[in-house]
Amino acid sequence: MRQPLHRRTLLRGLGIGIALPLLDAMLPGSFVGQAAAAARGAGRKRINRMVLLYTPNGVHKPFWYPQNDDDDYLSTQTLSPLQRHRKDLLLLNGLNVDKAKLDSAGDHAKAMGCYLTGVQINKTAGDDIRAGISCDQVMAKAIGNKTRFPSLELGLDYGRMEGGCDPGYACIYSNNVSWTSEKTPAIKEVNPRVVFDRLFAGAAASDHAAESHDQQETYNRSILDFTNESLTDLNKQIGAADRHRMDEYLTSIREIEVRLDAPPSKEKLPPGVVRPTRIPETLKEHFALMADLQILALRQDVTRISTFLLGVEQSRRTYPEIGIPEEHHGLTHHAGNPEKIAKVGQIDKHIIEQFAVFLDKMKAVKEGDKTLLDNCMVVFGNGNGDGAKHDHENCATIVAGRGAGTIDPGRYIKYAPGTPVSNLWLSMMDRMDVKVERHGDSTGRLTGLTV
Amino acid sequence: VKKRAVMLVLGTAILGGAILSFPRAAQSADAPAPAKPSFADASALFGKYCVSCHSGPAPRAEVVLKFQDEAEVRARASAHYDFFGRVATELSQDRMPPAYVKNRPTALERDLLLSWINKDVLPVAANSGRPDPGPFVLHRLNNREYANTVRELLYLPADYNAAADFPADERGDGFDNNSDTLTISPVLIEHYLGAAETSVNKAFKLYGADGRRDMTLPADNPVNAVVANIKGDFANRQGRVRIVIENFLPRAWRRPVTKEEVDGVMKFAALSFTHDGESFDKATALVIRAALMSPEFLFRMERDPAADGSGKVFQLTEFQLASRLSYFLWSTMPDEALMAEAKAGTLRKNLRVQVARMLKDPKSESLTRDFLGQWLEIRSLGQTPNVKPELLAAMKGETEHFFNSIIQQDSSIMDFLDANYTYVNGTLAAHYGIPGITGDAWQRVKLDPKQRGGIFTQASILTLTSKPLGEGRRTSPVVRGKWILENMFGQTIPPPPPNVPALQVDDGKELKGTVRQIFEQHRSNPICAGCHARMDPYGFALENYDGYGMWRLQDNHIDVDASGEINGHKFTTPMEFRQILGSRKDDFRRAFIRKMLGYALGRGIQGFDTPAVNQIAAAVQKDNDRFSSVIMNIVTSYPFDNARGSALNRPQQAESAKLQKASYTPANR
Repeated sequence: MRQPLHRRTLLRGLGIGIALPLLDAMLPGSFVGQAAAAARGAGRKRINRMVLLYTPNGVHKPFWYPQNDDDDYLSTQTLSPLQRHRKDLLLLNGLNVDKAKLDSAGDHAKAMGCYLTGVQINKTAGDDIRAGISCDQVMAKAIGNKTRFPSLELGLDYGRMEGGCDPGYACIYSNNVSWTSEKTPAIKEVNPRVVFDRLFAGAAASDHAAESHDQQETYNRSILDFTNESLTDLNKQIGAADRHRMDEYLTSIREIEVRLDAPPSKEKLPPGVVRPTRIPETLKEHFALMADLQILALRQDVTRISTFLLGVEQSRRTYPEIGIPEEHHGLTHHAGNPEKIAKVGQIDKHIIEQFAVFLDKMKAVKEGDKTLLDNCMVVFGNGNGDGAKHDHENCATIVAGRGAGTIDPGRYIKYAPGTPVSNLWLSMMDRMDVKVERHGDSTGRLTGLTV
Repeated sequence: VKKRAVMLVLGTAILGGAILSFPRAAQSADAPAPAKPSFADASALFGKYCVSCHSGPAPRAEVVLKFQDEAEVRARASAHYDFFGRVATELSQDRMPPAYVKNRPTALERDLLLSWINKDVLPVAANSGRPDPGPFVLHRLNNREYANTVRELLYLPADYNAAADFPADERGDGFDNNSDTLTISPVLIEHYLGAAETSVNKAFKLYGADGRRDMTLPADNPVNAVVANIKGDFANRQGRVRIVIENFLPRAWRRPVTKEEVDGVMKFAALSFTHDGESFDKATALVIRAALMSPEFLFRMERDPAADGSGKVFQLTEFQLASRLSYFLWSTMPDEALMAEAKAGTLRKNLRVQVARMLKDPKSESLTRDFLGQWLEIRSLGQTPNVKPELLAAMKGETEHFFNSIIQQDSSIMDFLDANYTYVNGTLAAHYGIPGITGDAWQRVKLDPKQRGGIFTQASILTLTSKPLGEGRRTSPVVRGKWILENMFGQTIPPPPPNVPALQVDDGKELKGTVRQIFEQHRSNPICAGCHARMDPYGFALENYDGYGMWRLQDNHIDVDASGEINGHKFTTPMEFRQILGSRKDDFRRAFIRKMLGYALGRGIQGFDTPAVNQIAAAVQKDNDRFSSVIMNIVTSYPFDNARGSALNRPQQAESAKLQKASYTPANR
């Protein structure tokens, strides 16, 4: 499936051509990230961040994992593009999303819905949507107040707009990996221009425009006050059982109020940053833009937590740019057909190549004598396990970065089969200074992330 | 008996609990449950699958499914009106018995129990005097409703879309207006703030001359004269803003407003005068921005007047009814005429006239665009690989024109199953091989009944149920069969078991033999046969239409075999196939009504809705299945006119009394 062009940004006809990635020329090495500067100024320890990339429709595991114990773990067909990052990543083996095995059918909905929440999702096509809070949102609630945006939720597609998704499950489960509460997913943004404006409109504006922008923000602050009051009144008239939607509203408003109350960021954007104009058609270009936006947001310390959905579950994206006109999801149900398997492998590798470029760029951003990647935990994973079997077992998981000195990368770790992936989330929360005893179906911390 | 047991084990082991028909059931494809299941049948099934948990001193979830006799069932149904509705929901969605239980009812047994609940038990509940209209919902305007409403409210141009940049809405039960999936998040609030500012600015042309008239009203509205006649000195400006807002707020909030509510938003006029000079427009604009961020605007509110936690049913106010009507038929705010009826308290009395008027209004095209587009999934046609955009647009156009004509000519909904007409433009006529029609204009044509008739012979449906193959598309009898059963007859087909040895159809380039021949091999596998025997005959019947819906006599140079058997009725041609579908009118009518009612209510249809669906279906049948009868009977149905109040509520009588205070509108000033 090709991404639709945005109506207002059909610029090709004007000869403007393909949108440049935001940080096309790479950031000059002299740029010191805002977060690192803040930490140095305050004499505190390094600031850690978390980025999670979710890849849909599982992976073809025989191409992903080394088949023999003495094989090099980054020489497999799918992972070979990551060889240059060998010293900066961990390949994990043995992690399960066991909650996704419960109930009948609906494996795509469950893969996504259970992944970061660690709970069984309620099987429903519409009424009584229920998952659980996801680990990134647990973090955002705990430490999100330290940055202008508690967390970012980005994606490369919105999901199906008609028809059913997984039988018996509302599409909301297979379209969202991040959940702010058991009933509410954190809505993701897909349009790079909208994300840019949201994060950097103030920083990118001219002085005159900034003044008007500030005035409007003051007005918006008053409007939200007013809305807040109306909601509080209204809540008294609404039964407790039905109040969750108003609570969502109220919580959302408070989050924005806090942001508007914070002093506006004076940090200017690095020179050469261009406002994106449209949604690129290919995964490669779209991925690059969204990656750049995240890097910029982390560098400016606009947020420290980001989830990035490379596609919704059952994604029907086609990849004609690499010679694959068939839909991704259809191919993953290959039933042993070698040609289809080869194409699934090609798609998996293509996505990993983009991930490798993302890591390149993170390494290019200096933070003191470290890099942005050194001060991050970047997870690449999924909840389906094998794309054909939907086994939810031994789900492909990579952790890149040094987590601000809390992770020792450069290894392949095999955990006991069936270790809940929620244990990884718990360990990552520790490293973000978010102390919780359990998350979803966690059975403990994941050991071995440090030597 | 032994064979059955083996199959059951096989079925649960491989399907992980998915519904599986026995091969025996499969042979008479799509066999209906016994016409009249008895209490004894039902009781035996409860005994076999449910009572081990749901009986005794500590029944699971406090649900008891052990019944002494029919009288006890009746008593239970009367006392707890949604009890059996919930049982039906759990069963139909395959949530009960839970997946880990190996002893599971078969599809036939499940159908039998559901049939008993729907036919014998729920009518009792409906006649108990305590029917259930379904819960009270807080319904966020979805993106298209928001865009339509803002456009209409501020008289913006037809191509203005305030929600163009919003993240896509989630959907539930097949529709994007399902209240439970219309969540709110900070991202959306930011979009609302931005869209309110942009839209209002656009409406006011804010940086032009200070307003000589009220930009929130059409140029010929008499209020403009009032506004213009107030002399422009500052002392009068607040008064001018107030006049505008007193007119605007009831429209924006879709109900009369109190003086206090007007006072509340007027604070923003003062704020603007302080920060932004003495501009009338800027002050008015800021007030409107605030009004557009209020939950009263962003949500369709149906307040429970009692709000005492009793969960009592309440009838909607006529203003609430006006909103339901308008968002159902138009996907936008109620217009002046609807509001006037509600204000006079005559909307219910004049409902028939109003609905007829609304269906004639061009705004009812939203039924085609949004209801039809989602029900038949043709909104997804735009993403179809290997078809020219021009042809895709023509395909979509045919189905939309077809439905629109059913609305406008008030035809029978059975035209979906079989009609001797359709609509084509030049592109589509060429595609169908209909001579003598060129150009972009749409026209109605008579169909050759040997070739086409019914929605599933339209190129749109035939294309979206086919699959890409190399540079072209191939048919998929399975997808087509599933599409007909699910969308036309409301049946649920379980997904294929994981890792089933599937057929080798898509090697990416070409087929060996006909599609049908390849699929027939698939059906010979007993694991697959059960479900495929239900679906595939419907798809095989459409093998005379290729992957783009073009008529064909050969597939891959071999003559097409479009014969089959459904419910013991044999067919060899598309015409005979349509006759068999024609014998399923009752099923189609109910399926159509359930879809339309779900869309109208903005929620999924539940077990407790069955009495209402039955009532509507009976009335529609009496009216010869005319389209307007479906709409009229839905908008006068119990669930459309009422809502169940919130249970588990703390008493808040003081607040609700405040709400019911005399309303304040410009007219009664």
